[in-house]
Amino acid sequence: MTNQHLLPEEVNRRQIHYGKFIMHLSPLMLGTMYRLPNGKFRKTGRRPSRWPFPYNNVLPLALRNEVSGKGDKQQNLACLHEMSILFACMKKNDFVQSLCSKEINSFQKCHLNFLQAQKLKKEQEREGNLVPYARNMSHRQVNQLLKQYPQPK
Amino acid sequence: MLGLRGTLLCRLLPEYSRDASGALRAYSMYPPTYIKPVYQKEKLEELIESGEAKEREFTPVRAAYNSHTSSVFHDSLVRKFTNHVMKTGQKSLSRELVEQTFREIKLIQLRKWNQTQTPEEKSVIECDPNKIFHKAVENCRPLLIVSPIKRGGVTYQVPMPVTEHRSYFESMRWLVKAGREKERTIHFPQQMARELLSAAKNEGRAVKMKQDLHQLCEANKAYAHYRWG
Repeated sequence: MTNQHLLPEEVNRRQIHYGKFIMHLSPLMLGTMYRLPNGKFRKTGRRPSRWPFPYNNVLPLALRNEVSGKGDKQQNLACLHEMSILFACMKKNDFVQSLCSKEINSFQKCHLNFLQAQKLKKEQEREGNLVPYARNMSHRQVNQLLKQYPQPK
Repeated sequence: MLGLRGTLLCRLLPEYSRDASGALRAYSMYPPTYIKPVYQKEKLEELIESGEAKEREFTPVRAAYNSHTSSVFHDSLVRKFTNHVMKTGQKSLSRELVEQTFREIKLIQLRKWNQTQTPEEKSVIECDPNKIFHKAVENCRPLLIVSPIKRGGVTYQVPMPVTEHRSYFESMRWLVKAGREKERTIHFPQQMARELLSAAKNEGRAVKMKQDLHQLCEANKAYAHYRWG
């Protein structure tokens, strides 16, 4: 059956009959999709392949007044590139360090920078001072602001 | 939250204090206002030159350890090494062993020095056991370590960069381990002297242990992205 000559409104209203089933051309309605016209399932022992599932309200649909600090956990994945370069050099030179001093220096410098940055960030987080017009805030600062200005109910 | 609790605890309980890195330290004898003593003469002069001594003038200072000394023979790395050699708190014994090790190194190098003929060859031979020790420790310091990390029921040995402090620890641990692996008839100072001398030349068992670790790190480089905070 072709529906090309029909207007969109008519297509939506029309139904395709396949034996006892009714196929809706309108947006899918899961509640009725697998049922017979009398509202019951067929008795052939076959189940619908996809069951319509009810909406389950697990969490309240409202934002909380706090954020967890999990996202702020700094990734410890610094200097991977330097490490791979170092490994390549070491393998090439049979693990003789003196031949890879350039790579070693760059790797250690990177690690030192990373440690310093981490320390600085930790210190700033511990202080937890609110900086006006700050683009990135720590979870502590966000929590402090949320405490002052909670979500409207 | 933890920081807040820390400061609160610091005020309430005197045994809680923060160290220099900001970490909460339980059962410290001193409150965080107390600073560590400076006992080396050079460091003291540095502080006076930089003007930091003026700031420290009225800060309370912790008591110095009895191993802190301004003697010219004092070396903080050697002191640390002595502690690594020590077993069951027998410090005087371990100090004696380290001193004997240094004496052994000196004797070996002097023998070599006397056996050589030309002054060019003599100038190459290092006769200062302290310098040899420092070189040996530097040569055994690892660049990377592996740390076991469990992911999906499997424990992976993940290569990680090592901190300066930890690298010195590993280096001295390997050196002492190499010194202890010996025949029963050989004394510890003799074996330790040999190991230190060979480590100073980038040879020996301690250096081998470091290279083995580096090879393990290289073999496990595919897991490097598994590490976390």
